[in-house]
Amino acid sequence: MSASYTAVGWNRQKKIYDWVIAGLCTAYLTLFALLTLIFNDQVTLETLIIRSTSTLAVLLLHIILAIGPLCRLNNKCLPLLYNRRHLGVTMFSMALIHGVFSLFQFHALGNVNPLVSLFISNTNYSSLPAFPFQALGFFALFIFFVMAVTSHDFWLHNLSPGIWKTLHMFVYLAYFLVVMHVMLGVIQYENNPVLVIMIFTGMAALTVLHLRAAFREHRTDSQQFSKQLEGFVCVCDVQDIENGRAKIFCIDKERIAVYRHEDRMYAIHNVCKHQGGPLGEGKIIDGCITCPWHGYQYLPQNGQSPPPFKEKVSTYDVKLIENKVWLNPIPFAEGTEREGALIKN
Amino acid sequence: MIKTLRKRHLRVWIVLAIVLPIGILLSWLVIPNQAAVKLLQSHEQPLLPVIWKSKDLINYQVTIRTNQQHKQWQLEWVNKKILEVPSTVIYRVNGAADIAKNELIGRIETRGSYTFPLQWIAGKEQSFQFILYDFIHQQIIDSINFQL
Ligand code: HEM
Ligand code: FES
Repeated sequence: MSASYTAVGWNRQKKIYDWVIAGLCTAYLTLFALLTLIFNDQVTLETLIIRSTSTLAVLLLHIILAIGPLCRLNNKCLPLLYNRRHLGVTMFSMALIHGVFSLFQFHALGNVNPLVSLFISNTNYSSLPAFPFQALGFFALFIFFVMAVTSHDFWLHNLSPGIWKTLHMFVYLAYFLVVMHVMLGVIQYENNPVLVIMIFTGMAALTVLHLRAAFREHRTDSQQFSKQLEGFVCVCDVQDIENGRAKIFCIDKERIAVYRHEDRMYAIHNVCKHQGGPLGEGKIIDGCITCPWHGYQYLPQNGQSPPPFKEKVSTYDVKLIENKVWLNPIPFAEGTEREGALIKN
Repeated sequence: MIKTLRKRHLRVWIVLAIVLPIGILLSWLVIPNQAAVKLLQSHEQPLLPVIWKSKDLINYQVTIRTNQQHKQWQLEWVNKKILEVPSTVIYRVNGAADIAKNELIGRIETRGSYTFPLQWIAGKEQSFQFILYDFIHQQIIDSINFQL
């Protein structure tokens, strides 16, 4: 595989991804409109837009939230992660259309500013069935907005990955707000069991997926290594690691990826500098460790991205004693050259 | 992901796993008139033959229909003009002080005709008193009384 092939490959994949998103969304909206018109010919265009975009946004939100744990449970789902942010921006656009149309439909007729009307038309904050559910939708939309505008890598670098990740944790709050927006809103007036069942099933599926993935990761994090020698820890047999692939070991709370590349073993920090992707779950392409999430690359011998890129991760010492791989969990400064351990046949 | 981030995700999902089901269940329990499914219904069910009473108002015509034996009852709602308020539901008054505790008949759009079945319990005194309610602004738009 050549370097240029990889680059084109990723881009093509990105385009296909976008076309698939656009196609599925259009199909959903069309189907929704058709079914609504068949079963209720009195429906107004505004109502149709409000309902089709809102339900699509909720559907997309579920897919987006499921991708993370799905990828951790099964590598085959990784292509979904590659362009998740476009899915996020699409979801936000749908929610925005729904929100703006709702504001016009329900609040534009009075002589108060529609946004003010949204908050003052109903102030039953102490009642559940009459709760001002639209305020919940508004705050969720606000969170999606902040996430959508900061989704570009420009912001990732400027805000620092730590702050950016914290910001993106708010998606869970937004999800909660959306669930309550639907449950305390339209469900109270239409009492539509299908919608309740869908919301409940979605919630149950997401919870199970996230908890399962989290507990599995927890197991990796609590691996115990009994054999130790001069700072090195015995982690596995040489044959346990395929050529061009890695195994991940968590020693002293840090995850380290041990890669086998041609006739040597190398170890680097498992966390990608881009968005923290698991480098040990990637593979070596064109001599570079390639992150499974969005394809950032690092050289196995020094943890540096090939020029012109400037990312660097920590490297570690590996040695082989007989058939065993021994790893020293004390990191070298990011980008430090290590010669790796030669595999003798 | 780094370990602290993984822990944060796990904690958030443990909290969500508790809060979400409670939220959904509570809001489901407080739905007024839990039993029946009351979606918006246009003229898909056949109209009952006997017009029992009808009111012709400026914006809509409201008719109570029944069959020969007076066993089945229907509310027929015809919007004559496009309603100004899009978020309307019809309640049948049962004396509850809280509007949401009255019997929810159904939801209507700004235009069109709708038919909703009305329950008739033999031997019980019935009222045919309705409220048109804007649930977004929590306002009664109209109330329509049919004297028995
Ligand atoms: C400014 C923000 C928002 C406003 C003013 C708003 C307003 C509304 C209103 C008035 C309804 C009831 C519509 C009806 O009865 O037909 C509704 C329903 C709904 N909303 Fe929102 N909403 C907002 C944000 C959101 C967001 C961010 C989402 C999800 C991503 C969402 C998802 C839904 C869903 C699924 C429904 C039920 C289906 C429907 O009737 O449309 N909403 N919203
Ligand atoms: S996390 Fe995006 S490339 Fe590694």
